[in-house]
Amino acid sequence: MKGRRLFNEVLTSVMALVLALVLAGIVVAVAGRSPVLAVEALFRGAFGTPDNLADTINRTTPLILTGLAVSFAFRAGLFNIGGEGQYLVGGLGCVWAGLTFKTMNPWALVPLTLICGMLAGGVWGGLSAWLKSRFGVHEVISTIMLNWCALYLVSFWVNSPTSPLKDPSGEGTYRVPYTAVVPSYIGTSIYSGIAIALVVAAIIWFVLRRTWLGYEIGAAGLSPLAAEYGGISVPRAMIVAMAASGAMAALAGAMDYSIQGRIPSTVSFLGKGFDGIAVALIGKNEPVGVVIAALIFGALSAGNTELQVAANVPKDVTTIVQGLIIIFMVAPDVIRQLLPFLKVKEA
Amino acid sequence: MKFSDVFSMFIVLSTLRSAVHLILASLAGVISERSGVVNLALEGLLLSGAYAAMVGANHGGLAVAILLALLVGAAVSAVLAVLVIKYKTDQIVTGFAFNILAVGVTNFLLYVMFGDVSYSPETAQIPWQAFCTVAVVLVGVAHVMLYHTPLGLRIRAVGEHPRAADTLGVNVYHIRYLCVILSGMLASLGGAYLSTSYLPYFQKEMSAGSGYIALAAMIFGKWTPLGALGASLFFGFASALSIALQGKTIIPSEFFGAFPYLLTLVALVGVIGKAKAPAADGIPYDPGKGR
Repeated sequence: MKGRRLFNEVLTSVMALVLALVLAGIVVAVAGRSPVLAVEALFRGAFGTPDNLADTINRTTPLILTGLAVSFAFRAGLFNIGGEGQYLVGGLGCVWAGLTFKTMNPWALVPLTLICGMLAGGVWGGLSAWLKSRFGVHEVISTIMLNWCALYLVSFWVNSPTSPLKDPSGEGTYRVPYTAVVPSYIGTSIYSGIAIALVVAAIIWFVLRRTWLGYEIGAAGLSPLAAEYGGISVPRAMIVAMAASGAMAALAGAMDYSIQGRIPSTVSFLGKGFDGIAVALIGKNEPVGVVIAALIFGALSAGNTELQVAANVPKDVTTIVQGLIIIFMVAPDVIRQLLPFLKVKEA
Repeated sequence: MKFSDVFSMFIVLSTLRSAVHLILASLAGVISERSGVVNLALEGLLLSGAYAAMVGANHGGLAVAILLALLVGAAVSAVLAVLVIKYKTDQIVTGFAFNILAVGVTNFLLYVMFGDVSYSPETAQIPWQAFCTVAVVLVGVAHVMLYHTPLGLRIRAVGEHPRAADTLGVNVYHIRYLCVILSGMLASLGGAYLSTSYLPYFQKEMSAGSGYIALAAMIFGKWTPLGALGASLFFGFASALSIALQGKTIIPSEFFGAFPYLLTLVALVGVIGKAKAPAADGIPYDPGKGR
């Protein structure tokens, strides 16, 4: 029974992905480009050379974290659209720490910068859960508003003439010393962030399956009233879940900006937080699923560059794929109607 | 900073100019949400409306631009309506997916149709005053429609207590389809303003979060047409002020940018009177269930 349900869940995800890719392929064909060439270019761009593979892995790292962030909040019944803002404040916290404690030993400095980033994101995320439990503000609205507040806050620290972090050259913040940068594996261009992301995924899996906290969060998400009756503090569970969620999205931002060395002057939403929503939906909010989905999206995003060059297909086609996937994931009934044979599998 | 920097004709006009699309999009939000459907796709509708209008203006003139924008708005929101009303998908996630799709599709088309990754060719321009007048008139029409006609009463009933409305013979689904599609057309018209009036061309991702500000204006305006108008004007004022005061004050310009969003949070927390959504907002109607 359990195996069958798992099979069905995986099947829905795979079908959503396949349908979205087929539809995007049709769009490409209608635009007069070759879908075959496009798929080929996408693959080459994602896995063709060791450098491309490294690129795919590096792009997968933040998506694992933002995907985990969204799915962890989902478990508590919260929809975290705030990944973008949490990612940005995470980057700010990290760069701030890297510049402030720049003389420290790298073994202490790198973790410290990441922790500072996570703290900033944790506060940013926890805030919307607190607003919800204390004032009944819907978390979707508050996270959207906080995204924009984060954008302007970070932009202020990066661009304002009064900011102590601003590089006079106008290119962004000062560069953090190389001792504050998340290192890459020797002899490759793969950054060690991937290991951190996988460890976080394992921790989340453990927390959800084996701990009291995970149980509380799951209960609060499934049925807040029953959880409250059972002696669980739902506001506490929500705030903890959302703070952890924010910290994970922030860790993604912290590592990305750490590798970049600075926050550039053009502060904008990079879409990593939003990508996390698609990743979480495809991964069905399971850490293992999230890692696999993140790898797929990482490959899509790395393959993008080649797509435009080799097949003359605008890279935005992967954005279309992403939107379609989300729609198919929230509308499994639509898939079932398009592909009636799936109905038989409904147990 | 001088008094004349803040209260001048320039500011008044600049406020109106930066509020037109917000007025239309927040009104779109009001219409949809009063019937009980959260329309998070305002951002995407603005963007697709802007693109459609630009294409129309390039191929047939300004009248075609408006018609095409309305048509695209109706079509896109009809798909959204089918998903959230018939298939009862999560309204927030679905609307969000539409916003992502709109970015992908408009960027894709821009490259395929015009060979450019950021800008479309220039179009003819509609005077912004015309758009502004239409927007304000539409707010008035919506106000009268919502509060002084039987249809308006039905819309509000469906948004507050669909089951009761259903019992009295109101077709909940029809009302919701109507409202979501109207909402799509209004937001799309706001998009048309961006690409054929505010600027004479389409620019990649030119809605730039206006759809979310419109959502904020709708909440700040307590889900009423007149309130949304007031809030949109207020947010337009904030953005006009940030332009006018650039370099003239110690208040960083980023503060003005973040202002609408901060204010919305404050409004939601209840400091400026409690903002309360329609009771059935965001909940799919299922005749077989308790609500």
